[in-house]
Amino acid sequence: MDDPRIWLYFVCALTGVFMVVGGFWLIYKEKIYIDAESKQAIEVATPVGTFKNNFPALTLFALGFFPLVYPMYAINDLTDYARVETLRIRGAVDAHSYPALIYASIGQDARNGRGDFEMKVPFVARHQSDFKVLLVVNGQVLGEESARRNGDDGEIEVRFRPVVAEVTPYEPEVMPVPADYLGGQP
Amino acid sequence: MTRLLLSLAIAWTVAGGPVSAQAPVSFSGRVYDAATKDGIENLQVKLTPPRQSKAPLRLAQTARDGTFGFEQLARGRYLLEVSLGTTLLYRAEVDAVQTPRVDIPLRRR
Repeated sequence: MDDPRIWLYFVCALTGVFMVVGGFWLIYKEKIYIDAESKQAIEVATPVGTFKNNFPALTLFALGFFPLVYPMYAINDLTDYARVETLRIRGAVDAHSYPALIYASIGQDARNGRGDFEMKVPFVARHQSDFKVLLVVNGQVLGEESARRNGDDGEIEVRFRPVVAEVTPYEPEVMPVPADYLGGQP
Repeated sequence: MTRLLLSLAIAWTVAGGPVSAQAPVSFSGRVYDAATKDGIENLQVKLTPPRQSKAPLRLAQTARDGTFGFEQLARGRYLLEVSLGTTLLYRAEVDAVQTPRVDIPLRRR
């Protein structure tokens, strides 16, 4: 809701609501007359009976649909406005006896031991599932928190339980990962 | 004579050559304390093939004497990693064909 153009669409849709609801009300009350002299609503005689109607109210009702529906389509075309679409990530797992959990992640942040982390992730509507934030150390999942959006400030705060690992008695001898072993599709 | 040698060469290539090129290999090793030469048990050993390879990732654990082994391993290079819990202790690239056995001495701090 940071984009001021969204408010214009909101006002437009609100106007449409007033026109539609007002049209209903005027039709029901027969407050607008097509004939100013007689101040009578139109009467239409049909084989099944006579119906009274007033076209100005009906027109108001019909025209109100446009400003009501238009913002619903137009809002998706706003520049920089998040348009949420669903993608499917499919694949196969062959992990034998190991319990396998598959996560799809777009954001990651690395910290050497300790420190605050921050990452940007796509907007997800409230009714959809929460983000699951994992703390992975040397390939092992040590922390798993469900991230729920509490306010409208666009931030989710996650606090992992501190992890205290005993210092190994051996000196690590680790070479950098060669390029052809790094992640990604071949 | 030349024809006979040529026929034998073709027969060897068709029958034995490609099969031996695809045959799996064994890879083993031992992780030990560099000072005492004692094996270190319960270490996680991981063999990761290059990302363009379709070979699976292989996992093992060191035995009481620090030894580990992989059978039916696809030929080629692997990234060998040895971890103790969350700490990565050793990482090196190995060729399962040229070096079917590795000794990994770990120095104490």
